[in-house]
Amino acid sequence: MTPETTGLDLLHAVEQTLVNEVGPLLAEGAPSSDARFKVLMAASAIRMVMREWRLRDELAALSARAGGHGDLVAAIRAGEHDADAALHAALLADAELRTSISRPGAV
Amino acid sequence: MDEQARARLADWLGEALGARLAVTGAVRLSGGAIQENWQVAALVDGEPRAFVVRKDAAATIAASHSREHEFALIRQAHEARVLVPEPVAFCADMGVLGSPFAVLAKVGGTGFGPRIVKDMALGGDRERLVAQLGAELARIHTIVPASNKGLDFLGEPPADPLRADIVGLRQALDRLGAARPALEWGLRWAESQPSKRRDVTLVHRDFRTGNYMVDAEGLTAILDWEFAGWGDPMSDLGWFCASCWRFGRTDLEAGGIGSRAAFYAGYEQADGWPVDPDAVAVWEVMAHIRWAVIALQQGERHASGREFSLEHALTGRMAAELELAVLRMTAPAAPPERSPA
Repeated sequence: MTPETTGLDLLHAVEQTLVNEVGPLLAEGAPSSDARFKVLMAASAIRMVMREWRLRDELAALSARAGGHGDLVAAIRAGEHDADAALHAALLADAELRTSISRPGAV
Repeated sequence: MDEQARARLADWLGEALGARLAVTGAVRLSGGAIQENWQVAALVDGEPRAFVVRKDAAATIAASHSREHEFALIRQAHEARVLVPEPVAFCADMGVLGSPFAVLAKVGGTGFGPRIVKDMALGGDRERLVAQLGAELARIHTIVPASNKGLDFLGEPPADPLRADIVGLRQALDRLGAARPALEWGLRWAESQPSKRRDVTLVHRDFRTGNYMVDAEGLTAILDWEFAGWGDPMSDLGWFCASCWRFGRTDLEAGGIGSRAAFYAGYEQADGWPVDPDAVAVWEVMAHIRWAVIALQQGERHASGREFSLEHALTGRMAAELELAVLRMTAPAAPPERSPA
């Protein structure tokens, strides 16, 4: 079978092109530093999309659990979950998953 | 700034300073849709001087107030011997540059947080720098509601600054329509902490690495006064030490620059209020929550379609790591072991 480039492979190729080929053309220092910053920002957004895609099943499970967040907010404010270790653990797991997409280094 | 505008600026500033003044150069420094900063070179009675002109790009009543208030805050800070750019004059006359503007003395140095944290050639000895920053903060906190002149626009001091911030952040989340249980958890945790009453002082509310300038020797100026207000002095210490403002140097608890001990010592030795480490810890949690709410507000500007900006979109996604930090700082204590019945 002919090897095929997947969507993720394509995104990876775009990201690598921006970082390794376009970025270095835009030397540091005004006035091109703004353009270089934007290219690196775009590459960072692409890496985020790739991580989000790989974790899509976990994210879907998370958003299913998060259905009743409006009520949860009111209950937390009312003190109904003070020192609720189970809720804290669930929120922590959610935040770890979302951070592993947005900035894995912070997990 | 065209020739006519330069001439009008020269006339007005010369009169304000009571001097013969010629503008010899004007370079736009930075800005955006909301604000313009200009570096202005001038000859004042024949002596070269450099100024910064801060004006609003669009003349709106609300925005012009913000520049005028910022100037008033810098002037108060200057009188309290805080290291700020010398406030030179404020112009409310729309006829000079099209909108009200403040003139400050130009200060040397660099303010970019990530660079200051990494470039050890800047800022001089780092423990000395954080002590110096602590001392500046102590001087800011000498300005109290009873002694204030011309800061009436800050409104009534809050009776309970922590409670006031919690209410304000909940309202901000409600306005965003954002259900963020992790931030709510943190706000409820802060609300449940025992609090000690302390005098309310002027607080900078954005005192952190990135909002001061340094040169090779040390500190040159404290900047960014637009968020200042009445509050708990411990809140500024918490904002400065919060791990989200250390730019990668999480081991250096005082702003990614130096030790917490040196920062606290610099603060107390300059006649700051007694440092209350428990209160600072609560304010560090609050700092993460407040920064998360600001990040969500920025993300919303893009997500709502009002303002296309990849940077705002990515800033919005920073809320996740801030929520994670909040949850890690506020874990419930392990339940006591049950004794057999």
